[in-house]
Amino acid sequence: MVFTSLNFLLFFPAVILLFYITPIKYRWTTLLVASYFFYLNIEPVFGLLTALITLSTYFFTRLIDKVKDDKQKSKYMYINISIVLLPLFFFKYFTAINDGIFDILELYEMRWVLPKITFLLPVGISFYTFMAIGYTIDVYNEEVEAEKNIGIVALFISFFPLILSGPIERAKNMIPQFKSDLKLNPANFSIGLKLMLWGYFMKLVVADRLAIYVDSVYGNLANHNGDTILFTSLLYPVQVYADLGGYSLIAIGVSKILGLDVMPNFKRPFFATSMAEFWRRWHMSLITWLTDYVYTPLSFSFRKYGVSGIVLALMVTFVLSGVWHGATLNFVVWGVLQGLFLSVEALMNKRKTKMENRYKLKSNFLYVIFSIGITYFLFSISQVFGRAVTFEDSIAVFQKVLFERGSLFLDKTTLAYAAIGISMLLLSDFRDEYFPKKFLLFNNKHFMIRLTSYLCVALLILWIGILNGGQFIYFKF
Amino acid sequence: MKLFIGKLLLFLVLIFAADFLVGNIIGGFHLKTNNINLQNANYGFVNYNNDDIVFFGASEVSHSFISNKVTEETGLSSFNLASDGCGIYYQYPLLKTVLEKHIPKVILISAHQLTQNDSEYITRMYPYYKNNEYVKQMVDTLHPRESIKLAFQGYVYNSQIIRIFDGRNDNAKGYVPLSPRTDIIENENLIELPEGKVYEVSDKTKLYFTKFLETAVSSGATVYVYVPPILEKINQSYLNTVKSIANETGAKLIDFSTDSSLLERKELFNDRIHLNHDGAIILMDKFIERLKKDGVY
Amino acid sequence: MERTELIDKLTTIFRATFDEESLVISDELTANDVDNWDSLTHMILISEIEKGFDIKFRLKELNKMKNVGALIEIITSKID
Repeated sequence: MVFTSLNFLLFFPAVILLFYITPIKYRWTTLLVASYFFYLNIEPVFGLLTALITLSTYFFTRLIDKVKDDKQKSKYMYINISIVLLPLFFFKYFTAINDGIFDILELYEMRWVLPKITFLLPVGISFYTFMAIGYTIDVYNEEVEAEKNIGIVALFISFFPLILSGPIERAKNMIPQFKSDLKLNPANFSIGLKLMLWGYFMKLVVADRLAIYVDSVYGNLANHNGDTILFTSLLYPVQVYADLGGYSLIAIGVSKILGLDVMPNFKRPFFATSMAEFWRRWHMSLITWLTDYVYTPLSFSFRKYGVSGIVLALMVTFVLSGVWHGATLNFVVWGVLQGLFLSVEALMNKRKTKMENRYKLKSNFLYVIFSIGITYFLFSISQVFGRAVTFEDSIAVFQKVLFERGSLFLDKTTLAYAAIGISMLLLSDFRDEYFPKKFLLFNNKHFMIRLTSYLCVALLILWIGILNGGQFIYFKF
Repeated sequence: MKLFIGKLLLFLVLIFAADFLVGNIIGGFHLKTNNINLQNANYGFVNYNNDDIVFFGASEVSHSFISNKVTEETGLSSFNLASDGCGIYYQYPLLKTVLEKHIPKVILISAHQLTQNDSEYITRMYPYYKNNEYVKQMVDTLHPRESIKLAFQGYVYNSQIIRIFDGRNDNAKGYVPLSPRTDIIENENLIELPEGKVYEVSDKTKLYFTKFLETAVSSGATVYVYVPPILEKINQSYLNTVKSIANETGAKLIDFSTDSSLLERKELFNDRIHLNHDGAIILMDKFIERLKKDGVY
Repeated sequence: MERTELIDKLTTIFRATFDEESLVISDELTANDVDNWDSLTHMILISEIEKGFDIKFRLKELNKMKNVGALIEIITSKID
């Protein structure tokens, strides 16, 4: 059951109703039951997996708190991390590693014909695994106390708005909220519904519509020329932003209605003027997770190597981020590119800041546009590796873009619809970035203006949204 | 809280009302559209005018069957009801709609319909959902939940809005001529045909294709299953499936898959599967000859 | 070491690391207030402080450095 299915539109009001009739003290149990119901509806067997990860995490975090010796504490932390990572590793990377081993065996002519086993990836496994690991490390670091109530831990790991695709939350933020008095009130409903409305707009009107065009080109690379592929690749980041960003907004909105505050995941990423800034605005929950739990410990360990240490820590972090997305060479390259861009930027930073200060470039309108353009362009390059299915395809993309000219293939109808959505999305972000309190529509002080804008957006979803089930990119993560 | 619920209800009512209003306005434009595929759908589902020779299928039919030429040579009225990209879940309700008004002398359907297993094209029938019981039945069988969404008039025309206003010409009784390409090299005629695709025919597709034929045959019309000429070596097991279905249902087979007089002349094709206007003319001669042989006129 | 002496020494390190000759540090100062002070340059700063004061931080302590004031507290506890 995804957010964009009719089932969810029945499920969610039912949860709210249930929530309403439950006494405040027990509302967290309603959420727990709803979350397992939600997940079991998608993959019954994997609900078991989630439960096991919960048990292990609960058990070991309690142990970490109980034990006094630091070496013991860290031992328990690493054990739980290994246990929790095992299923993720197995489901996500088994096939790749299996194939890799087969290839090696074949090289030495030692291959026996074994049946090929394919596994269905449990939905959301990457997300809740990370939340469990983050919680474990936080307990070790004494950021948060190990929660004594196993139900609350279970809820933290399985909370249904977040379980499928994040934002990847922290125990420090969520657990106190789960334990507090959860109330339904109109203000939360209003904010939450607005977030959901805009999220659905981003997902159904922009992302799913663009996907039709992008898929038709990337699904048929051999028959498209370099110009078309270039155009498509420059559009693709918008699709990903609308898809994951929209989905995140729905998740945050749903949580808000239930009285819970979840961290934002995107902050107008296309207005970033550098890659470093970009990564402070794009998929923020993942990046802060990686920064806090991978990059910081690594760069701390490497600090005696100075700048080289930083670069190494960056590369490892982003390669890991790439691999988190998928077990293919393409994703590794994606990660390497991100690390590379950031490292180069970091190394050039002092000189760049000097130049910017000397010529007051930061207030130069053209310079800002230029920086935004370069950043977007670099990101689009890396996203080719995120979209093309095989490494060979990615190389083919660059070859064609560089050497093959031709007339642009334009699916006019699809692109016309997409243009409507994209311009609204970008204008909205533009407004939020440069004129935060002006030209408000959803938050305008006049009721009529607010109502009219809700209506326009809702009707657009109804009339030009893809309502027959577009696929959500981050779903099988 | 009560105030909030009140505002929410107001919002929902307004959505429904605005949607109803605009949906109906768009519906008006839809019926008068210049877009060929939508025009054909309108003709078949709404304005059908008792034609004697009708053709069903997708683009391989819409670009190949020249209704006016058939009428000229046989004296019988004709219409090409084919709609690009549409599969059997479109053709079957369309057939039933036609038969309700009138029984044609000749019904032809393309065997290529068996290769179309998905069903996204059924959105083309949504405008007729409310008033046409066959369309309603088909859609409800395939996607039970759609009826909820179809309560919204705007959703009915979702994704077709631009197409409605995208007028193109060249619709002659449903036939859409393809101008011959100027870039096909003569030498290509000597290249051997590639291996045919292995088509997977889903059970559901086969079921409805068979139903189509059974319904058509039992109406009393002469029914043809048309195997189009395609620039590939047709897959034998697929062809056998087609033949056996035709046999079982009592439809006649009209098979051009190995007709060398067409397949050897690549300039008659614009691509692997579509004959251009030159090719269509030759195909029509053969088709009309077959009609004569079968005593249709 | 006296607090003022510590702050002087720290200021020198800050100024060198972030290349800002006029930087003044205060207890409430955080990374948001200084150009170029982000997660990339943070470790360099930490490393320089360790060298300058001849101390060694632990990873756990990094999380507790919410602002310069907290940083000063931790440094103080390590020198004495």
